[in-house]
Amino acid sequence: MQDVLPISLILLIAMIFTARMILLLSDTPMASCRLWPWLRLQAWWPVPADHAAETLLRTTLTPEEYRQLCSMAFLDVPSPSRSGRVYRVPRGPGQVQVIEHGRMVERLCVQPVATVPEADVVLMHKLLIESDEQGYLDTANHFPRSVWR
Amino acid sequence: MGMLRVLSRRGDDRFEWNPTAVEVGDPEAVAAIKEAERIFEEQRARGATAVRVRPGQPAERIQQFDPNAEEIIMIPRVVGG
Repeated sequence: MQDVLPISLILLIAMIFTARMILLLSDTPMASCRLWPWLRLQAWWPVPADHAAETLLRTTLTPEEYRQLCSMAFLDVPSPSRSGRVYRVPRGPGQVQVIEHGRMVERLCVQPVATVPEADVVLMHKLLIESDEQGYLDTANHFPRSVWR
Repeated sequence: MGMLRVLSRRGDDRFEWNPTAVEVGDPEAVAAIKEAERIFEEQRARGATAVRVRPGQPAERIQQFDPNAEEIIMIPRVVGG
């Protein structure tokens, strides 16, 4: 009994340490924009909704667009009507940045009323901007760019 | 094959139809396309946006169900956040 107790304690500490490391690593940009999407693409991924949404996103975007999303954690959608304007759609929570000639001019907030997976939200922004930019802008809440940027 | 995708909490719900079989009057294909059209109208009534997607081309918003579309994606109603 006396031998088992210290081993159990060491095991418990090791498990807590491992769990904390996994949590820390999962918060890094590398994990959030590359590892999780890659995991969601795997057929064995246990959440079918995430797998379906990530697969649809990957097949709908061009390889260059998907590569940008995986490496930068955002997708640049060029404005169909205004040259020099780009909508920067983040993967995950956050507002869409409106960038004109390399400079952020404002931020937009648009969200679906229904709950959909993260990858579907990225796709939703892209499709709405491409197909009905003015409707998208009319729906969005507009926020001025941060004063320090 | 045509496909209607409805973005949802399940990722997307898919409904497929075969336009070629519809042309020759295959009852199953006709039923499938009618079901897809019914879902299209139902989603539109809920405020969803329908876009036609073609490889290598920008998405195009549509108001009417297009039986010849290769892929239609229904986006749930959006609001300013």
